[in-house]
Amino acid sequence: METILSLQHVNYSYEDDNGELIPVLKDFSLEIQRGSFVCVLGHNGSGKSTLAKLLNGLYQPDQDSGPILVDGLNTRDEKNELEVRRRVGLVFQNPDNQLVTTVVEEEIAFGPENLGLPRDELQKRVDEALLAVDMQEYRNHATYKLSGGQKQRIAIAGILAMRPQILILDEPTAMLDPKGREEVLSAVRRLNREQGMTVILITHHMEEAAKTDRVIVMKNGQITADSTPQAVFSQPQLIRDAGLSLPQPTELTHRLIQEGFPIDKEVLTVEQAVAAISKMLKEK
Amino acid sequence: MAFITTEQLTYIYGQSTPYEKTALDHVNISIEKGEIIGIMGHTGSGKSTLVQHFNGLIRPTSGRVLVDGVDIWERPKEIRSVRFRVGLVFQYPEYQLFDETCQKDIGYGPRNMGLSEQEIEERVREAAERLEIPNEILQKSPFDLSGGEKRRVAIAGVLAMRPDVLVLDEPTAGLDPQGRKTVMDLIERYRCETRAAVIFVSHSMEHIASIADRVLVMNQGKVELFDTVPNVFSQYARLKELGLNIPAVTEIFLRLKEQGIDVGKGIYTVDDGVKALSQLCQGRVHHG
Ligand SMILES: Nc1ncnc2c1ncn2[C@@H]1O[C@H](COP(=O)(O)OP(=O)(O)OP(=O)(O)O)[C@@H](O)[C@H]1O
Ligand SMILES: Nc1ncnc2c1ncn2[C@@H]1O[C@H](COP(=O)(O)OP(=O)(O)O)[C@@H](O)[C@H]1O
Ligand SMILES: [Mg+2]
Ligand SMILES: [Mg+2]
Repeated sequence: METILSLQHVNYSYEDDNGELIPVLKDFSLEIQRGSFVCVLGHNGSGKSTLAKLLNGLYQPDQDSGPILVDGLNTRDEKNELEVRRRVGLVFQNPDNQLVTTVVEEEIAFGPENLGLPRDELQKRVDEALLAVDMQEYRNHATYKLSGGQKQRIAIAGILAMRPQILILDEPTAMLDPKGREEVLSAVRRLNREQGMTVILITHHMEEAAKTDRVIVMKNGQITADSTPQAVFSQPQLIRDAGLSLPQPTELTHRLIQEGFPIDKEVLTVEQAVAAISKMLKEK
Repeated sequence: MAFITTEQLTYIYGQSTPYEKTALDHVNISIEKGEIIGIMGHTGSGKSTLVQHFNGLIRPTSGRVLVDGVDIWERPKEIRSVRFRVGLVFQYPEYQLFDETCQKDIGYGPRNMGLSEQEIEERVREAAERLEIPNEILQKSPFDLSGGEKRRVAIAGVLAMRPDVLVLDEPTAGLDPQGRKTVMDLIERYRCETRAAVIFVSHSMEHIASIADRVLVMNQGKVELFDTVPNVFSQYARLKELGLNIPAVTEIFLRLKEQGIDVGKGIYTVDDGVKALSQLCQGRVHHG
């Protein structure tokens, strides 16, 4: 598979009030494949949002850092700045702070309009983006009247209209109720599966991580685990040391194993737990 | 006697404008001292509007809010004292941090209460400890923190006032699992040590099921349910209709039951589930 994002020995530091440099990402290396659905987990302050901002060129790595390549473009190169921003779409936690207009259609056209696209191309992109997040009927609705999940899907559509190759979502469901959260996640999953969009999902919800292809666990600016969700969540000690937790179905089966129950240990979802428990009880 | 009571509490945003919106519609509830109340409901159901009434941040359009038996709007000039007694951690409180350092920000409430510098320092230290905020962060500007770090500082600021009722609006959104656990433990400890009532809004069914005594379910500005954890989470179909959910373990055992495997009712936490399965299997050994 083709690499679309690559960070090689990247360093990034913040400057504190006294002008001293505080390292956040240290010797950080990572490659992400085109079309993959990657989840980034990590304790508060582990450097997830910093990583996201480095990837779309909002932040520049330290002087002594290795390169960050987005689809082959070095983010350090000034002439790549616009292209990098265009390729990497960033969606944040709070939809209210991201919406800038009052009507759904205008909101989605806002970005591409600034690129100076002709009218019919604009229309086409708005249609596509609305379809992608399943909000076609809302085209003429007022943005302020939408529910949280709907607002967040419009924020995603606005980014999609810029035709990014990579979508990075920084805790996109933190402000949403269970229904809104599911709406956003299924829209994102569909984008990945049906359009092959490369997706990086930053989240604190372990059950969201369970449904991705690859889970990267960050701890103090470094990667402590990088594997499939099954492999990552089968290591409770590592998860605990990273300040994380297990998805509840996984926690249940791990506890049952500790109590001596002969149960399958690769459980991540409610469905898998139901299957594992019923299998165990039938075999007994 | 109830500590917080609302009587026919109604609130309308933008009354007599085209944007008029009834956010609370004749809400009648009462909450005792020492209770932990979990509030859930779809976005826009009125949760934030309701909790902002408890400390007098919003004045009812009609109806009353009583704290300790007294209508808090009887003497509007004294509303400030209600804000010290009923401590409210806003939804997204990090947007309200403003001081030069986190230390000063956490001390803002106690300073407003007119406490001595020594007492303020003591309270800031205690609140920071409870939220596991390290010393380096206390000296930093709140603007230079990650999302989760800001959240902890904001909660500490309210805790430092040592309120009689602690109200938290979605306190765990954006916190890492460790931080969520810290906040849940904090709620239980605060209730235990002070016998204060704690009211928290959450979208995490797991959190509500694990610590709440009673659950208030809001729907379109009205009280849909206000009952114990078992009485609320047994209404799975109704909750789904409201855009809500039940804890993942509860769902697992419900689905097992649909398949004819009845492990027992009332499973809301991982502990409950492990216990129920252990009992079932022991039972089988005896009978088998
Ligand atoms: N503007 C800033 N100035 C100085 N330090 C900062 C700044 N922004 C973030 N930091 C620090 O950098 C580290 C990483 O922050 P970052 O926002 O990337 O964390 P995060 O993993 O996204 O955390 P969260 O889960 O809380 O959102 C933290 O220790 C934070 O305090
Ligand atoms: N400042 C405001 N002005 C106008 N309407 C508002 C305002 N704040 C909230 N509302 C509306 O009131 C209703 C209840 O909102 P809120 O209390 O924030 O709900 P929740 O906290 O349950 O998501 C929603 O319809 C919301 O759009
Ligand atoms: Mg972050
Ligand atoms: Mg709210």
